[in-house]
Amino acid sequence: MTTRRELLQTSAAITLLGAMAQPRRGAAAAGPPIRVGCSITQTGPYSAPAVFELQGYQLAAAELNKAGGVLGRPIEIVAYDDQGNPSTAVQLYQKLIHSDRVDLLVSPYEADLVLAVAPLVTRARMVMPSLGANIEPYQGKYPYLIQAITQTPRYMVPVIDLAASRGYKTVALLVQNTQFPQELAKGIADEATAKGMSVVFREAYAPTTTDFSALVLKAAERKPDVIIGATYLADAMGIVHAAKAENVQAKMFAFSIGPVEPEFGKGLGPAAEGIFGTTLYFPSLKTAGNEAFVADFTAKFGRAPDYHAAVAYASLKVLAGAVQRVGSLDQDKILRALLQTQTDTVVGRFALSPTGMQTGYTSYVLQWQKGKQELVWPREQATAPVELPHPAW
Amino acid sequence: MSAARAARPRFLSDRAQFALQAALLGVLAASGLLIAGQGNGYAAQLVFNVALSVLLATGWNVIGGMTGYVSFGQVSFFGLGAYAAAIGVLHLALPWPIAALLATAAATSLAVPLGLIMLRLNGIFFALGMFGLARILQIAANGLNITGGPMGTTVPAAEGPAFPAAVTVVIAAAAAGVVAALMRTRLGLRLMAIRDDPVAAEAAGVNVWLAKVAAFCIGAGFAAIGGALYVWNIGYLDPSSAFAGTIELQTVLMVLAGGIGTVWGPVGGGILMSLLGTVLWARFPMEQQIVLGALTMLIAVALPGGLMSLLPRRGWMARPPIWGPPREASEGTLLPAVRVAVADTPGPVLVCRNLGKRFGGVAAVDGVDLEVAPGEVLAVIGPNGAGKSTLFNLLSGFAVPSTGEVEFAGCKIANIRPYVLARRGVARTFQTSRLFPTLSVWENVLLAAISRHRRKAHAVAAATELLERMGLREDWARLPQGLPPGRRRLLEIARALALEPSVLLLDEAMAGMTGPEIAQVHQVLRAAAARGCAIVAIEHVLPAIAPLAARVQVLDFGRTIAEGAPAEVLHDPTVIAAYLGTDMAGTEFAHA
Amino acid sequence: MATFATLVVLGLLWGGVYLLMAEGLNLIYGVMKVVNLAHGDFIVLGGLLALTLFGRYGLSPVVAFPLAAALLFVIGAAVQGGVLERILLAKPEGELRTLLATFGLSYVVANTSFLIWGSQFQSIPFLQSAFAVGPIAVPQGLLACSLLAAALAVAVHAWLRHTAVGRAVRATAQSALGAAACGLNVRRLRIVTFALGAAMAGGAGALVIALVPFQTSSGGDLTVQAFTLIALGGLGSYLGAWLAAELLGITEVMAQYYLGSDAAAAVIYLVFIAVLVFRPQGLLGRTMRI
Repeated sequence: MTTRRELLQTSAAITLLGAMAQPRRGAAAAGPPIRVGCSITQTGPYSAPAVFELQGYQLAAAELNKAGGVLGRPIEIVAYDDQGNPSTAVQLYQKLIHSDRVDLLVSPYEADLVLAVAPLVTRARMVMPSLGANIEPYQGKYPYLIQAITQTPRYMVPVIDLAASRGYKTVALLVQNTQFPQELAKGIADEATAKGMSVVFREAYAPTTTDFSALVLKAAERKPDVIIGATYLADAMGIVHAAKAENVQAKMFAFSIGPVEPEFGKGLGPAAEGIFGTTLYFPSLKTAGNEAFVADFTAKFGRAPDYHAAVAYASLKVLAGAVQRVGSLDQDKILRALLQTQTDTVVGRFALSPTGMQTGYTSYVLQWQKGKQELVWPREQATAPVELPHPAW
Repeated sequence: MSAARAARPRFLSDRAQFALQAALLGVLAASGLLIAGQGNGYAAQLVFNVALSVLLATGWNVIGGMTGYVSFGQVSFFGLGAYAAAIGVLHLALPWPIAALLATAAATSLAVPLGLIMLRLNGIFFALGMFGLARILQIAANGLNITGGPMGTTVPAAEGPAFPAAVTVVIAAAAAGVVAALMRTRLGLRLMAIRDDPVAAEAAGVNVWLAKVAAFCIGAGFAAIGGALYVWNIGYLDPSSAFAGTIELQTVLMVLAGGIGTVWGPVGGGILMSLLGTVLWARFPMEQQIVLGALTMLIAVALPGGLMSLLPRRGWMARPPIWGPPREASEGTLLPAVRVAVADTPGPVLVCRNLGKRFGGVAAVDGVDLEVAPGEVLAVIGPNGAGKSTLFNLLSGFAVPSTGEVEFAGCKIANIRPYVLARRGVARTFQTSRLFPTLSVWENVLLAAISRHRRKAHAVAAATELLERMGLREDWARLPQGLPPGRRRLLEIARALALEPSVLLLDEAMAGMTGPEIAQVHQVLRAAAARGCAIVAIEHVLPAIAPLAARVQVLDFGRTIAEGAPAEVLHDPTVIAAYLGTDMAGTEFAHA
Repeated sequence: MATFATLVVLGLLWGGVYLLMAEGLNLIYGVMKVVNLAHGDFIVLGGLLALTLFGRYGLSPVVAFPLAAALLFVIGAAVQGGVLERILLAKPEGELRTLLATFGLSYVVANTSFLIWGSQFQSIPFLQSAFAVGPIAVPQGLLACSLLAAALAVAVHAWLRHTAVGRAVRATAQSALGAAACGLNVRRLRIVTFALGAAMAGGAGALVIALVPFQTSSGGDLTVQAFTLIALGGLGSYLGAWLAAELLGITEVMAQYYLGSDAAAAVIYLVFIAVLVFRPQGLLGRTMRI
C-alpha cells in the first residue's frame, strides 16, 4: 500500500498527454508461451513502488519457467506502462485483451487502476487476481476479479488483537475522510467491539488538514488507552507531532499507513519511538518460501523485496497454480479453482470468500524501536518483543 | 511600411478568407477522423487526446482569451461535466448522448450563478478565485458518495477509443467553428472590446456584465462537453483526475503557445502541444512537467502572442474583419443622427443640480449646476484639477454623486448603468484616449453602432458613414495605435457619435489635433448640433471649442466660478486669476 | 477554560506559522504587484534543503535557515533578473504574463525537486516538545516559528522605513516611474525585493518542515494558503497580513475543535473566495501598505 491516493490529491496525474508505451517482454522458454498481460506504472511520479511489482511478476515467471512452466508451456509477461493513469490503463487492458489476446491477466497497482479496468476485464470474462484493497469490487460486482491483497477492513485487525492482549479497553479513532481510511476505520471499530473494547472517540478529518492540535486535544479528553490513526504518512506524522507538542498521553499509538515508511522515522526522530504501524509483508517473515523469495529477489534485482513485489509474486504464483490444477486456460474453470484455493504464500495464507474477497491475508504489526522498524506481532513472526505501554513523551 | 500595406486594398475578400479557414479546419478534422477510423489502437487514443485538447483550449480561450478573464480553474467545468454525465449514466440510466447533452446544459447553467460571483473579480483575483473554486468542487466530489467519493467510480464506457475519438474530433472542430463565427457576431465584438478596455466598452453601450457572463457560460459549456467525452472514453472518473490542475496547466499552455484570443491559436496550440507532450513523455517521462513548465515561462517571456503572432496580421489565417470592409459611402443610407423623441422634448436635455462628489475629505465636484439644451454646445473649461473629468463621470453614470442629481431627458439617472445611458443617448469620450487596441478602426466604430442599431445593415451603414465623414475610411483596417494622435482622437469622437447621442460629452477631445483635424471635428460637431445633439465639451483651454460654443462654464476647485458667452468669460478676472494667478492675466487667451 | 486558553494559544501560534510562510509573498506583492505563484514551491525547496542538510550532515534547521534563505535569494534574483524583468509590467498583459511565468516556474521547481527528493512526505525532528505555562502546553516549534515571523515582520518594516535601500524600495512600490526619475536603479531594487521575498520563503520552509511534513508537490497549496492570507490582510499590508494570519489560525483551530475537522478544511477556500468577492481591499483596507 503506498500513498498514491494521497499523491493524486495534491500533485497532478498526467491525464491528457498519453504516451505510446513499448511492450516489455520477459524471458521466453521453448514452446508456445502462455502470455500473461498487465499494465504497470513504469514511468512518472508513481513509478517507484510499481517497479517492485513488475519485478515480483518477473521473478514468479522465471521460477515457474525454471520448474517447467505451466501446462508445460513457458510463461511470458506482457507489461505495458500505464503511467499511473487510469485512462491509459483502460486502453492498455483493451489492447491486451482484444489485440494482443493474452492468455491470462494480472493486476495493475493499485485500487484506482484496478477499479478502472474492472468493467473491461469482467466483460471479457477474464480472471484477474487484483491488487486493489477496497472490498467493493469483490462483493459480486465484478465476479472475475479476485482479491490478491489484504482487504482494507482487515488492515489493522492485528493491532487491535495486540491491544486487547494487553487488556486495553478504550480506543480513539482519527480517520482521514477518504475512502480507504474510512473503510479501514470500520474494520477497526468492528474488531474492537468484537474484542470487548469500546471506541470512545471517532472523528473524520479532511485530507488537506495539516494542523492536528485541536483534533488531538479533543481525542485526549476521552482519555483513550489506544489512539489509532486511519491515515497516510503526512497525517500520521502530523498527529504524532501534535500529540507530542500538546503532551497528549496514551498507552499505545498506532497508524495504518505512515510508520511503515522509512520517512516516518527519519522525519520524526525520537518522537517515532514506540509508535506502531502495519505492513502487509516484511522480508523477515517466516512464511512459506519467503526465505528463498527474498534471496532470489535480492540476487536478481539487487535489493530486498517490498510488499508490492511480494503480493505481485504471490498472485502470479497462485494464478499459475490454479491453471495447472485446471489443466487448461478456460477462464471460468480457473476462476472456480481459485475461489476454492487455500494456500500458503510468501505474504501469508491465501483464501477467498465465495465472491472473491480476500479472507486469508492479514497484516503484520511493526514498531519503531531505537530508530528501526521491528516486526512485533503476531508473536510467532516477531523480530523483537513488543514495548508497551508507550512512555511519556 | 505597415501603413502602406494596410491602406492597400485587401488581397482576399473576408468571405474567401473565411472559406479558406473553414477548409483548413475541415482538412484537420478529416485527417483526425481518418486516423481514428484505423481502429482501436493508440492512434485513435492519440486522436482523442489531441481533439480533447483542442476542445478544452478553445473553450478556455473564449473566456481567457477573447474576454480577457484568465482562469486557473476552468477545469471546474470539465469536472462538473464529467460528473454530471457520469451521474446521468449511472443513476438515471440515460444513454450517453443524452447524458452528455444534459451534463453540458447543467454545467452551463451552473456557470451562470458562478459567473455572477466570480466575474466580480478581475485579473489575478479572478484567476486565483477560479483555482479556489476548482479545489472546492474537488472537495465536494470527494464527499459525493454516489460516485464513489475520493476513490472514483467506473462508468459504462465506449467500446474502444475509435468512436469517441471521431465524435470528439467533430465536436472540437465544431467548437472552433462556433468561436470563429462568434468572433463575427455582436457578442464576439463586445467580448473583444471588454478584453481591451471594459470601461470604454461600457461607454460604448456594451452590457459588460451580461457579455462576460455569456462568455463564461460558453467557455464552461465547451469544458463540460470535454468532461463528458473524457468519461465516455475511459469509463472511469475520480475527483483528482476530473479536477486535475495539470489539465488546467496544459490547456493554458496550449492556448498561449498557439496564440491567445485567436481562433487558430487554441487549435494549433492544442494539436502541437499535445503531440509534443506525448513525445516528451515517451522520451523523458520524469522531466516532462519540467519541460512544460519551462516552456510556459519561455512563452510568457518571449512569445506572448504565441505562434499566431508569427503569422502576418492580415494573412488569411488571421481573424477576418467583423462585418467589414465598409462599402463605398454612396451605398449607405444615411440615418437620423438624433433620437426624435428626445429632440422634440422642450427645454434642456441634460440638467444637473447641486452636483457634488467627494473622495475622502476632498470635494472633486462641489455643488455644480449645469444644463444644456438640444442643439446647444456648452464648453466646460477650467485649470487642471478643477473637477472637469469627475463631472463627466457623474454625467455619464460612471460615478455616483455624493450630493445632487442628474436628469437626462427628464429622467433621473441615479442607478442607471453607464451602458444603458450610452444606449439611451449619452455618449462620451475620455481624457486619455481609450480606443480598443486590438480592434481595427472600423470595429472600434462598429462596436458603438451596434449598441444603437438592432439591424446589422443599419449599424454597418452608420459606421461607414461616420468613418467617411471623419476621413477615416481609408484607415478602416488599421489598429488605433497605427494612427497619428490627432486621428486617434477623431476616431474616438466617431465612436461616440456612432451611438447617435442626444448628449455628447467630449473630454478634451481636441487635444493634440492639427488645425485641419480640428476643422474637421468642428464640421462634424456642427452637423450633430444642427440635428439636435447637445454637446458638452471639456477643454483645458478655450480656443479649440470657442468657435462652436454658445456658452462657457468655468470650473475651479469643483465649483462653477463663471458662466456666460465665451467673450465675456474670457475677460472675467476670476477666470483669469484661476488660470494664471493675477500677474500674467490674459496672455493665454489673447489669441482666442 | 484551560482548553479554551490552549486553543487560543495554539491558534495564535499557528497564525504565526502561516504568517511566516506568507511574508515573502506579501513583500513581493507589496512592492511589485506581482503574485509569485512559485512561492509555495520556494517554501518546499527551502524545507527540503534543510532536510538534506539535516539528514546528510546532521545540521540543525537553525543552521539550515540562513543557508536555505541564501540559496533562495540567489534563485529569486536569477528569476527576477533573468525572466520577470523581461516582461514589462506596464503593458496591460504584463500581469498575466508574469503570472504565467511564475506558474510555469512553479512546475519547474516542484518537478525538479521531485527528481531530487522523490514524492514522499518528509519532515525533520526538531523542537518537538512543549513548555508548560500553567495548564497550557506551548509547543516549542510553533513558538519559534511565530517569534521568527514577528521578528521578520519587524525587521522588514524597519528595513523599509529606516534604511536607504528600504526607502528606495518603498519609493519603487509607490511609483516605479517616479523612482526611476529620481535616479534609482529600479531594476536592481526589484531584483533585490524578489530575491528577499524568495529568501523569506526558503527560510520559512527550513523551519516549517519540522512542523508540517512537505512533499515536493505541496507548493501549490502553500501558495494558495499564503495568498489567501495576504488577500485577507489587504495585499501588501504587513499589519493586515499579521491580523489575517492570527484570525485564520484561531478560526482553523476553533473550527476543528468545535465544528469538526472535516468542516475546517473547506473553510479556507470559502473564506478565500468570500474575501476576494466581498472585500477585495482586505481587512484593514488600504492602510498600512508597504
